[in-house]
Amino acid sequence: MDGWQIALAIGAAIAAALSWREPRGIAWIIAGAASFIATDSYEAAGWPYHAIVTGFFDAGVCLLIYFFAAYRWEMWLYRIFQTSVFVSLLRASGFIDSHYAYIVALEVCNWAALLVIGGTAIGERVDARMALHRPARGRFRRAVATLRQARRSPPFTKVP
Amino acid sequence: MDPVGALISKLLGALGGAFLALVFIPPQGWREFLSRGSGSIVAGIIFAPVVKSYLGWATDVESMMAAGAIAAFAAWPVMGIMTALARSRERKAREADPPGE
Repeated sequence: MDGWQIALAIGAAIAAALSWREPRGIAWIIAGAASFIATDSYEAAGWPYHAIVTGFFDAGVCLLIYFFAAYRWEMWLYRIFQTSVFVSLLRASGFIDSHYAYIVALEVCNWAALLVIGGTAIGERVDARMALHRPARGRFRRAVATLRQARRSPPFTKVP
Repeated sequence: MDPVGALISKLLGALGGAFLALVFIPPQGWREFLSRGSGSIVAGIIFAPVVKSYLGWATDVESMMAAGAIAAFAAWPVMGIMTALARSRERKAREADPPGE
């Protein structure tokens, strides 16, 4: 493992620790980690078309989130993984020439996902403490409440 | 390339393209999913050789799969646009000539 991967693993562990009361957050961290490990192993094995395979694995996680997400913060994760798939498609089609630029773009998506998961968990804990001392709904508490709202549209499998 | 191999390559590519298109443009119901999915896969199979010749690719398995994927991926939103246009025309026709009058 190189430094970037170790940093990402530490970030994922911190986000998972912060989300220990939120099993959905931990589930998405595990799904993202599984995708990362699979694609990294594929690249390490030296097999071709790494960008396409990465795109398909991220698309799989993206669709898992789409079908099973219940809250708005999870739909943010869905958008982040969509961006990750798009980056892989750009790399596969040659629009992103530099391997370094591709890796950096994917790392940005990974860290954004961890920030959403960890940030939501932190926000909820702060909100719970504020509820004790400041019951009135300020801007921060309204923002946290928005993240916890149900997603705006259900997956197409649940549309009557 | 033998015809069966070409068809399988195109089909696999079209399935991959439709799968990726599903990520970016989720349908709004089962009916739309089935119509977009089937149309996308069929378009991928039919237009894969067109895409391949337009891009100047060789006739091998990978190029055929990639061409099928591109054709299917592009067909998904096009089908949505055509459906929206058809519904808009139907609505305008119904407003211009309401039933029962």
